[in-house]
Amino acid sequence: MASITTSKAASVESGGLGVDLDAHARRIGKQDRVATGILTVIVAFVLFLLGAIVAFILVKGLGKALAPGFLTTAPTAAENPGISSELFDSFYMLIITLLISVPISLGAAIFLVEYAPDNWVTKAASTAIETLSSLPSIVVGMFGSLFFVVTLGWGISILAGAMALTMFNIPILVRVIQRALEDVPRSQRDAGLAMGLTRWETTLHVLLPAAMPAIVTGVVISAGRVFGEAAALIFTSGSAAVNINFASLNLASPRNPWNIFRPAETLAVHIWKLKMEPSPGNDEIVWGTAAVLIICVLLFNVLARVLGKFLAKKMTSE
Amino acid sequence: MRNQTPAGTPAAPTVTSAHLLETNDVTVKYNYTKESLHPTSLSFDKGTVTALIGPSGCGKSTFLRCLNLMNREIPKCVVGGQIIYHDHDINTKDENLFELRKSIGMVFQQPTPFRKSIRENILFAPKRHGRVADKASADELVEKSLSQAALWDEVKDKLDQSALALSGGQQQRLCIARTLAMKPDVVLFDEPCSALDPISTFAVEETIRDIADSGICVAIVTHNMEQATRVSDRTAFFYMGDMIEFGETRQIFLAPKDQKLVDYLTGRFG
Amino acid sequence: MAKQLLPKRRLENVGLGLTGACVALVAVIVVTLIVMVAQQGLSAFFVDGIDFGAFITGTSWVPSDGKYGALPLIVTSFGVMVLSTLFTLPVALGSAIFVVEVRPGFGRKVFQPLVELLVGIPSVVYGLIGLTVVNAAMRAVFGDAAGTGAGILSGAIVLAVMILPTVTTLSIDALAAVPNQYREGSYALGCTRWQTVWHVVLKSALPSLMTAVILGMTRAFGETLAVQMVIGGVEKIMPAGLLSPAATLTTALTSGFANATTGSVQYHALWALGLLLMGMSLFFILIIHLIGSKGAKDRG
Repeated sequence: MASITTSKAASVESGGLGVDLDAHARRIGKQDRVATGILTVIVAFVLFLLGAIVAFILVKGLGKALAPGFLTTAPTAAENPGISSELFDSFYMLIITLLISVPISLGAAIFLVEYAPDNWVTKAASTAIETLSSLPSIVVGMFGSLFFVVTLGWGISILAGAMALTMFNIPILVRVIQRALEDVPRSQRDAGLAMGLTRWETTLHVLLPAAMPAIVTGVVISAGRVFGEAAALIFTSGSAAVNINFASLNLASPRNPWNIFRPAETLAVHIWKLKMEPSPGNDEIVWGTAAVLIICVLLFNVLARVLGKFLAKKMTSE
Repeated sequence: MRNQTPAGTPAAPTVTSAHLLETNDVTVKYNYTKESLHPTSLSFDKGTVTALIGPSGCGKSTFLRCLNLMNREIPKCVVGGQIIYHDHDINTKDENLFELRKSIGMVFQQPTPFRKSIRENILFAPKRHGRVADKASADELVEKSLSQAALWDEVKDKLDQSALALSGGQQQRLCIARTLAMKPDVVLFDEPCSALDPISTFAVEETIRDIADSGICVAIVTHNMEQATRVSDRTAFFYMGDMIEFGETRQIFLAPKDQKLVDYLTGRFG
Repeated sequence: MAKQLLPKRRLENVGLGLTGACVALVAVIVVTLIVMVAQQGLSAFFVDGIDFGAFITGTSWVPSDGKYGALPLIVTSFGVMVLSTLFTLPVALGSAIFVVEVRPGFGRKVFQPLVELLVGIPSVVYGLIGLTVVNAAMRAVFGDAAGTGAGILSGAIVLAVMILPTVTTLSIDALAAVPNQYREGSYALGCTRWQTVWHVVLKSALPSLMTAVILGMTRAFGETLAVQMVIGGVEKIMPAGLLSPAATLTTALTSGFANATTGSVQYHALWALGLLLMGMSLFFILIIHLIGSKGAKDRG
């Protein structure tokens, strides 16, 4: 502020002395145009970067991704190995993660928005959630490998991986749901309470339905993040390709697709694993897997927006 | 309503009062310390409308929100003094807020319809309180409440449409109907017309008069002095957290005693 | 009575109990994590007798030879973090200014959703592209000096792209939160847009911008697989320059953890690295809180 007023004062003064005021106006006008030009270039660069990354992966990998049998052949097949197990495991692990993390996050967010007394317990709890969000995922993975895998005795398993992903997902979800609930006008809450309803009923029947579009969008976007996470999984659900037997009926079998105590390898881990242990022919599979992964993440993003809009529209029109 | 308190709830200390609702030296402190309402004693009776007037920030809304203990929902807010309702002091820790608010309804400044159909808006709370037995009694309750709020004729053909599609005035009358569906014996209005146009305001005022004539005790906060003269029987004037003067509405407006009230009425401040 | 419902007070307690239990569960898990990491990491010093001073200042990390000098890892971690922040900051800030001050409509409808897409791209994919594109570019630009192309600079570039969306989104929020009266006041004095942005908007958004940068740094510090794929993984010596292959705390963990036997000295030493990582992220949170409370104090 100070420099603006002084430059103004200076120009007025110099104007009085007969110095060219127009020159000053031209100079700051030019400064303004140059700055805007630089900003435009920066934004164009960011958009180009995004386009280039997505295009690069699709160009390198789409051919393999669409090759017949790639999505449906097991990774352990001797000839033309595919990614059927990885694809299944990625979605299966994601669903289990969401089944665990969404209810916990909903409860925690409702507590923090509706019930939380303003005291140190609440502050400590929200600091704990914040801490969780800033922890490196590799540390979460190490903790998982000790606590879930060894201490709780789950072994390298889908469940241990899903719990590690849950720890990674909870802070994101709590924040999204908290914000969605806070965005519902206060008056709706007061109206419910003034009719002798409990906070619990008001939240369940008034606030949550109103916040639902934002919550659904947030959950799906977080699902996209979870889908691509790998570092937390290497030590918890494993990094070895699994040959799933979709016909297996024995729930305890390590090849049964639904067994949550068997090791699993997701698409993201598969990419990392193949790239770290290069062998001939791997490169094609890596890029094909990357293309599949990117397409899934893009679909999650589109789905999030479409679902959110659809729910919001349905709600106001009914 | 109050006399049907379920057995088992500890009875609040009995205080004899000649009025349905009465406050004795009620104070409100925000943040534990800041006294925003100084000791206030007022009384409210069946079938009458009491207006609470005064410049903004004078404590009239704060006082109103004591009557159904809504101030309890604000963190760090402390309400002192006695609030006597049906001969019981309700400003106690043991008071069952949920039972209390069934019989003391409240209508807010902004219309607050829920994102549900008109029918569901009316039935939501009665259902949650287990008061709706079957479809016939539900329909009867919807029609009766909407008629009491003079809204039935306008919405009877679109009960299952979203309440958000109604106009502002209709939404506010829906909120009144929703409150009446609880069969309260006190209804509190917190500046119910400040977000409405003159025609809707007139309709809401008529509804308020009708409610009082049906025997319900009404308290209304308003910053609109004409509104106070139109709807109320008695008026209390608040200024800087103090209740300055209380009396018949005619007397308050035609023969004010306190100099501050005189200044307010003649537009020196406010 | 239509149906028997729970008494309201009991129902309210049910709600309070259920949601409180969720918060308690999360808190318990976080505390368990902190305690376990601390316990395992500290036992490297208190049980296995690794000297803490030597651990922090030693310049060679070869766990199989019993050499536990974490300095190369620490230096590299900080190096890539600072470098990537330096690369990202001008781009993030520039696009935030453009989006908030120059073309708000375009920003909300087009730019922000696209940037959020960048957040969603998995880190292994960034690593894969880094390995293919950035490392090749290093070889092309620096020739033999770059070796395979893997090194600190490559890691920093990949990280810069990865934290760009985080820093950009938070910067946009920070600038958008500046009240419009400030801008109007400045324009009313006849200032140009550039003068307004530089002297008024950026100044009042400074605390939130700092938070944005620190959150970006936190992410860069903890990022694992993308860095591991491009940085070369040399743990045994101090990095000689920006082009030399190196290893960060996170990449040393990834490559060493699978081979360490539970309970061994090597295992505990790796946990000590994890403890360092955790300590840093707690430190970052502390700084963010300090900025936040200072901002609150400044506003009164």
